[in-house]
Amino acid sequence: MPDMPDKDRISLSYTAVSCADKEAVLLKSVFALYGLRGNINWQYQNSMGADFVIIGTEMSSSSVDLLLRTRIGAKQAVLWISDASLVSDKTRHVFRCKPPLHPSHFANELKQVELFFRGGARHDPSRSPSLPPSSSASLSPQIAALREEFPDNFYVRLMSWPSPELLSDDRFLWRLSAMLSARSMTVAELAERSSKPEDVCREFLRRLSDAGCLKKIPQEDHREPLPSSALRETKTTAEGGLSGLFRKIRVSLGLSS
Amino acid sequence: MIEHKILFTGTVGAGKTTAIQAVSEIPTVCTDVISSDLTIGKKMTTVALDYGEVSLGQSERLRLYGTPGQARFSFMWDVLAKGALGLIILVDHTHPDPLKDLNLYLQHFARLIKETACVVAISKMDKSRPPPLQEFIGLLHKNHMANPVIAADVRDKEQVLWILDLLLAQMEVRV
Ligand SMILES: Nc1nc2c(ncn2[C@@H]2O[C@H](COP(=O)(O)OP(=O)(O)O)[C@@H](O)[C@H]2O)c(=O)[nH]1
Ligand SMILES: [Mg+2]
Repeated sequence: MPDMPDKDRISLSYTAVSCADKEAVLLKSVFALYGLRGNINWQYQNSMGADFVIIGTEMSSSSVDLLLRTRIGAKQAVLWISDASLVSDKTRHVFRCKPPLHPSHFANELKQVELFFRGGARHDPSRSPSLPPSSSASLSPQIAALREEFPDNFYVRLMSWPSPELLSDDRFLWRLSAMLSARSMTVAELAERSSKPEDVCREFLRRLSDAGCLKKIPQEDHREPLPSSALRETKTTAEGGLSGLFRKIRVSLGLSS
Repeated sequence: MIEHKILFTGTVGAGKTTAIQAVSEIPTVCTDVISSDLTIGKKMTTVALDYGEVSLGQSERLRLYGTPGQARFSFMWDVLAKGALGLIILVDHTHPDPLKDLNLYLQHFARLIKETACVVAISKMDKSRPPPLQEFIGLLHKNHMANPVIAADVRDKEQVLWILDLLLAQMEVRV
């Protein structure tokens, strides 16, 4: 395997605390794999000051809360292996995996963590992300490859609903899939509709594509679907027509938009 | 008053009444008599029909209908489907052949599903017994559908809201 050019490889440290034996072994092996093919050189560091802190299942929620508030800085990323919900913290970058830890789930989160450190995609929708423009020469090879695989002018469409393992419990991925099940869209449109950076959408499309759930449609083959008569005939007093109606339904049900 | 509707369908016991109850602002009405606008042709038939409501401001209302489950009432399904914004299919995983149940609804509501939005929710799912979720997904795929398939306990309001969220996500990209 050819080595990645040095300027593209960054070195980052990680640490793991309160992990069960099984979790520790799994983490180690995934990092070992990533060390070979990723563009981040992960080094273990026995300190809470590491760039990436993994918290295992053996820490209580309240301790995690305290830890986040007192020991973790805004530039660090945290991954917490737990089902529990976080009480207080919105200012730290906390990624999540459900126990029991599964290698593919962890690998998926690790990719997101890498995007986060690549200076781009953020995990949390409340922080507005900024990615380099498409033409940037300093792109990571991974992102460049993704942009090539899913060009701006290609349409994508879901051919089959993804497995629960692929979606994990990330609601954003569920919503994105639901949109793509209804109609073909370009990456740009998907990003706009989901309020996520294009490269985060591409990263997910890549996983859908690997799982055989996705169809790519070149622009010249794309046909706009006919507007459905059912929806076309729907009348509403809502401002903004049907979009306004759906917003109204969301508000009435107490759903976020 | 402008009225919109979302349909819940599924076999008897799949959780239609429970799901509608979870989000309705009024106590669910279970009608046993067909009202005049639902009468088709000659015969007056009595059927069980669930009904719930969500108000959308002063001038609009969302009606939630639970279709009578049995296939012999399928004439009702067409009446209810007309103008619906979307469909939720509830599948009782403990039924003898839940894939066959689902297939019946996919076939019957194919047009509504393709033109609007649909979520398939598998209720009473016990992962240790077949068929696994993937087979339900496969059945949709065979019907050229890729709509959300989700295991859900509709006794939990949050889960019903999540189903509706996924339904709305589909509607929203169609306009
Ligand atoms: N365990 C379990 N029970 C459910 C679920 N959904 C509904 N039920 C129960 O199943 C029974 C039938 O539900 P109901 O809503 O009346 O079904 P309907 O005939 O489709 O209207 C009720 O006792 C519900 O409490 C579920 O997801 N899991
Ligand atoms: Mg009922």
